[in-house]
Amino acid sequence: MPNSADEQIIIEIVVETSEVLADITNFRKEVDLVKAKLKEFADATGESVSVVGQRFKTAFAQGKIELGEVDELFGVTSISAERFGKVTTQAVKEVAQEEDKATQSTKLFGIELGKLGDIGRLVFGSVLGISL
Amino acid sequence: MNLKRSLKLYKMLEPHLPEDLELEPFDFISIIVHNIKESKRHNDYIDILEFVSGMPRSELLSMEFIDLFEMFAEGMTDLQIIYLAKFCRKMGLSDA
Repeated sequence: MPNSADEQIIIEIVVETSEVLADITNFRKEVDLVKAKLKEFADATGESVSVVGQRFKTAFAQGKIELGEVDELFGVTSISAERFGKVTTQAVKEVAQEEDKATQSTKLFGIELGKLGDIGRLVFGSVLGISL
Repeated sequence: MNLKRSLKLYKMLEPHLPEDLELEPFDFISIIVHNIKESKRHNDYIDILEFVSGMPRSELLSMEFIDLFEMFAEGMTDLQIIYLAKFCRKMGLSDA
């Protein structure tokens, strides 16, 4: 029979797991939005996705573009410059993988999570304090 | 697939399954955890872990949440719960 201390531990486990999974899901959505938009910019400018991505990261970090502009351009709402940098880095990496046709299904947590890619490791890594 | 074990797991999961079964495995499992949290039936998560791992509750509670989730996800995969959920719904076996 579980005692109240156990009950509290169980609640914390479920809540923490749920929150981290939601973070991963949100991060995934943001990466997809940014990836699609970076491809559009790259097509329009003739530059590589990597170069375009770097331009946006730098511009946002230096305050040359504002949060509202990032929201409008990329559809990612209320994102910090640091988060935008991580999202853009992941988006650029995935585009490069797609272009190399090197994308492989990633096995994470014992299940095939091809769509998730490295994001789970990134988010879980940050949760666990692991440098990635 | 071990049908008996799969059906037992399905019964434990059934109250928490997503409406939409045509989801990526990650989304499917995330929604189950979310639904367990929202229903406030937190013990269901540990009950399921006890079932899929065969480990005692006391040992599970000493583990990191991330390791528990890995075990949870593996249990879903090993017992082919998405396939089974689709099958049970198709057959109207909501209380399998």
